[in-house]
Amino acid sequence: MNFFQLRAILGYVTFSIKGKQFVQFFHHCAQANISLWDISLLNENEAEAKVYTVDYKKIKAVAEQLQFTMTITKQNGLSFYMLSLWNEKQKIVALICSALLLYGLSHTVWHVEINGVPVHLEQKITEQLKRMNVYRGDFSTSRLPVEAMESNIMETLPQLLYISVKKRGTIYVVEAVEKKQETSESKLTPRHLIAAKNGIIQKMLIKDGQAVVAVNDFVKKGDLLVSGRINTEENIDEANEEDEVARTLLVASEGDIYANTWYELHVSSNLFTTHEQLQGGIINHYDINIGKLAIPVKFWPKINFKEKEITEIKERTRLFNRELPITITKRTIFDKQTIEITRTEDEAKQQGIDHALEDLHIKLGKDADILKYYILHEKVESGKVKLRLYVSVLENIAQAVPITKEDK
Amino acid sequence: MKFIKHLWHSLTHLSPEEHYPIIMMYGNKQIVIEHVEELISFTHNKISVLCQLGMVEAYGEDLLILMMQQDEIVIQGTINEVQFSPEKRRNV
Repeated sequence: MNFFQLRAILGYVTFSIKGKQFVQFFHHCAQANISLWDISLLNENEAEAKVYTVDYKKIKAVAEQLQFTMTITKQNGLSFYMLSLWNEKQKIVALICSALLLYGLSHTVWHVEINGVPVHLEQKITEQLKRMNVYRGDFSTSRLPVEAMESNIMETLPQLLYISVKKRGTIYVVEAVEKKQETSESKLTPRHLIAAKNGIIQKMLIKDGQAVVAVNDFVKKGDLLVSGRINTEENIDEANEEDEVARTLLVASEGDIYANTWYELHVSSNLFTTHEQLQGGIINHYDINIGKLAIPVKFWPKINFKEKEITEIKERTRLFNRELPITITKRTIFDKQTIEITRTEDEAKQQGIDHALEDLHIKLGKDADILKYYILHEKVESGKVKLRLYVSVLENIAQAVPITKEDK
Repeated sequence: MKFIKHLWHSLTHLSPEEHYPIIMMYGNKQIVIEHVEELISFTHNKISVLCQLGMVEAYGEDLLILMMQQDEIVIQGTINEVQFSPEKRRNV
């Protein structure tokens, strides 16, 4: 910081000193370690000089002591500017009001435009947007980001194929496309149902097609279950005996074939493990980030947690359509405790089995049922229980394959 | 090595006992005087300052003190002459 910057910040006073032998006054000032500058003579008994505002009281005391007459001619610097501004409070009030008004206007929704959907969907989208505080005239400082709005609407309105929410300043523009439900008949082509896995058939729910297998039949992967080629009596009568194609009716086989299938799983479960648990203590701290500079705004209370988990949410401040280079960071500090858990062999075994069955269930889908399981082999090794499981499952094994020209 | 140390010391350290006035001139427009003890006189044509080893007097036109600190003074104006009088010392 140079001399001129320091002067501007500290503020300085231009004063005139009147009296005989005023050099004495300057000598006393120098002795008192008071810096003076721009000392010029006005006349034989009067001089003008400048001094920092912080030293003004000292210099006044010197002048009184030496019985000199001192007059302030000018005041300069930030401190005086602030003081003069404070004296004109209406300007400050106007400035604050303008800033608040500008902030309010920039955070108010002035228009919501929905394009590309019929009226009934438009109403539903409008309702959803209202729930997320997006409607004309709404003032809110913390709205969901547009990506979250899009995913929320897509979840609640499955009839939408696509949605795009764009924020243009204080206007929201929603572009959406409705799903066009095509008739299943027009989509489906003639097909067979074959076995996707080996298994023993337990139940058959056939909607269309001709069953080739029966309940309790053992089928291998790739075996035909339901045929899409149906021989009808009418066709046999009407068509020429030599023309087999004319006697068959091709359909798109549909249905569920549930079979008992088997899986062999290898499971490993730790006897010693650690578990992190949140204790309930939460502290929120806030920072204002300007570029790389982080200014703590709320940094109390002090964090006394032995272990902590920290999450950060950063929110960019906006003014109309422009992102300001200021980010507000909310830092949430959770009180955490790490617990060391020692499990018995049975507990570890049970947990391993539960996890393995759950994983298998997720992998096979919600239609599958796990009927029973057997432990084929188990051993304890290096602090782990290792298991080999045999799991019996009831699942839909039907897999559609189109009827090719060769098949026909 | 001792000689180099001595030379370096003599170049970089002035004797603390001898408070010579240090005078720097920027053309004939500005003069900086260090180790000043007292301002003796101040007119448009002459500024006199007293140092421990004598008096420094600057003569010229439109002289003013640009800056004044505890032991330093900066004079500005059209400087015509600078005079050092070692015989004029403070009477201790």
